[in-house]
Amino acid sequence: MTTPKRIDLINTLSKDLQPVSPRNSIFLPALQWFIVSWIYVIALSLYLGPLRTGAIESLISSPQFAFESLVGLFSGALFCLVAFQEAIPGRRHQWVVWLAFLSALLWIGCYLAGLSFPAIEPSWTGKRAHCVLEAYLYSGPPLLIGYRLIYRCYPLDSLRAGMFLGISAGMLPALFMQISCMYDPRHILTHHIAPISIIVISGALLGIIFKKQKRILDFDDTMRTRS
Amino acid sequence: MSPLVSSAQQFNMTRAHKDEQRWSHWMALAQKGDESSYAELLEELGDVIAAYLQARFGSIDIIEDCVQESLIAIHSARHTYDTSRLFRPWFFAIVRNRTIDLLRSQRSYRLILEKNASDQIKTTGSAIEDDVNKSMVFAALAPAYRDVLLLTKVAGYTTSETAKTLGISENVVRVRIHRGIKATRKILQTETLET
Repeated sequence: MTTPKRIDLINTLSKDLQPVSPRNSIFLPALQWFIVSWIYVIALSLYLGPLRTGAIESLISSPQFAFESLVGLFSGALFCLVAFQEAIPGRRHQWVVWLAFLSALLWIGCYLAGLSFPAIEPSWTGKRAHCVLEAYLYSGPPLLIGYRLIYRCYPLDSLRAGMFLGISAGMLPALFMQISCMYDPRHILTHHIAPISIIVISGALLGIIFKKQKRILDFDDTMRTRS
Repeated sequence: MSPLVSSAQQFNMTRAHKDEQRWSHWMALAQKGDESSYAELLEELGDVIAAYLQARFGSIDIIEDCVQESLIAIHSARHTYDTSRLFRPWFFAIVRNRTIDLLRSQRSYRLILEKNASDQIKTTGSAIEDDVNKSMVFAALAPAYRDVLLLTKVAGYTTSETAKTLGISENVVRVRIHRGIKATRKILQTETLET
């Protein structure tokens, strides 16, 4: 049974209804974000320092090196997709989430295996002095912009969206450091992959902040429509 | 399967399909700014949400608040509906989310108290209690979670009152509320989207 209060609410919501431009695509904004973020990371990274000598050649000469790079790229793309899935209600596919986590585990596993069987000879060649700080510098702006894109839709679980985007944003520099910083699985795990956790926490915080802001806006809407 | 059950299922499926098409069409018009279609859509969805929650939670006081919060969320999220996709998954994802949020928030407790104070209703009435106990979600919950959720979210007890009633610490009550809501979310997510 429709209550009088509900009828009032419906009348208020439908009165002077403005047309909206649907923002219901996931793939396009996710792809745009992923490509633009990569361009940003590559451009800034090359501006701040050169690629490691012989890194590109290693991608061809060492299948293991190419494999761990491709798994990382695939995993980063999946987490990007998962984060943008969260932006639209009812669009989450749990199997994609599992696939993303499995690929990330495989990616980390590659480096753990690399502690004993490195893809290429570990060396200090190409070592970047501040690779950890660079990782934050590279992933921060994509995280902020990506979350802004997600927030323009309607993420039901802002925390999850923020965390998934944080993983994807954190993986961008970690992957590029594969060819722009020194190669040593131990260094990669501690200096390139470990900082992702901080980016994930930042993403989660962003999610909480945006959720609070959204709650205030929703509460204002509720109060306005109920008054 | 008896022919009666089979034809009832057939009827439900046809009705669900018709609802789906009608809601999707109305929402497409609403996205273009059609007020009357939107009002009709919200009115119908409001009744569907109320029936959905009634079936799952019984006659708890926050149903009407859940309905209204869900309608506001649908209004805020209407630009995210893709007319080429099914309406129900989008719609029920919002309803579940708003319901869980409302259950979790302390505001629900305050709303219950305010409502009870103004309506002079005693939520401990046995008819309501029976109805709630038999509801799908509460019946499916583990007794420890069910008791805590019923006392805090339905009867309007505070955490300390609940702790005293059940003879457990306040921390345990908080943990059980958290886990109970998590379990509720799982129950709602795993069921089919039929109302």
